[in-house]
Amino acid sequence: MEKSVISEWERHGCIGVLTINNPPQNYLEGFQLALLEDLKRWTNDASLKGMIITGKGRHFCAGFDKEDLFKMTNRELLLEELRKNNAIPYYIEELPIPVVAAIAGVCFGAGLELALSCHIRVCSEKVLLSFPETGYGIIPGLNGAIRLPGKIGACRALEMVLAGKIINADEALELGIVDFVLPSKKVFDFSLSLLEKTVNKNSIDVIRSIMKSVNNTRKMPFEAATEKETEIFANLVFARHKMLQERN
Amino acid sequence: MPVITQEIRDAVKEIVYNFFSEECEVDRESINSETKIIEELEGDSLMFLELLEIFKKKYKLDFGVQSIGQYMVKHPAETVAKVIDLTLLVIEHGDKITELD
Repeated sequence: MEKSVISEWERHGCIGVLTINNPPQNYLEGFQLALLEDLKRWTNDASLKGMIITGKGRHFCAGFDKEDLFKMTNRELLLEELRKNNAIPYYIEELPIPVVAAIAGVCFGAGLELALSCHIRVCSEKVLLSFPETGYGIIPGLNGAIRLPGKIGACRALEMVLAGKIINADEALELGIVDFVLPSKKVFDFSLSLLEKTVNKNSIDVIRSIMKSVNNTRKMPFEAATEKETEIFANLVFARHKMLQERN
Repeated sequence: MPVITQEIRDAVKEIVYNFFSEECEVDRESINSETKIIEELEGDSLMFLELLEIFKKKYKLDFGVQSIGQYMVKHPAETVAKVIDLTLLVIEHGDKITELD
């Protein structure tokens, strides 16, 4: 097992598991989850086909510790820290492998922002999700107010963020913030089995190609994304053709 | 907000004991009214939010957790008995709990 800041990394076959380990609430330390260079080193592995992010103990992550946050009096330093840590959810979102957030207990603020950057969210029946920042006179700091409307629409995102509303599992499923709801003790095993079933039979090239296409829909105009997908498709057909030729 | 009856008191007690027993993985019989949530059950401050969610559904309550949080800063619920008392206050007064000070 490897460690970086409050994250632990281990492999379950072709699936990587990042565990947020700062119990009981799993607050981010300072503003950090892990160093980006460590995350890159862990995930830059040709045999890695999927990833799970989970929390140690009862909770996924309660976000920033507000005492740490309000201790920060240097604006430039705060900006630098936020930019550095914004890079983590962005990196996760862009990974060419599917990433599942296995969420139990409380998932607040930066914890929810991290979960929103994952491609699939599996949560426990007793999960509580919230952006409580407005209660402290601030807004979500890791682009939660940008990612959430993309998932549930501006109207419902505004209601949740502005009111600092706490959402339970049923509401989260109905809103489309989470994809699966399970009993607490089954969340991790379900996530692992979901990923294994999804990726095991596929080659790394196919997984990466599909993820690239899916990720392109988020950042490119429709026409550019379809053009990219056509190129990716042709590349895979050509690679298969070449492999069969070499075999013969 | 419902008026607190003996039936509600009994139901709250039952749910609170079962919640801590299940979530902290300890025998229900080992919990009593003076059991300390953090020190003895290895619970944490966020568990009360999860507990309130159960009562929100059960009694169809509508309140903001920020006002409950403000009240808890002044009146921390360290033991099972205090959690039960605080829960009953939330059920009875909701957001107006802060006006009790």
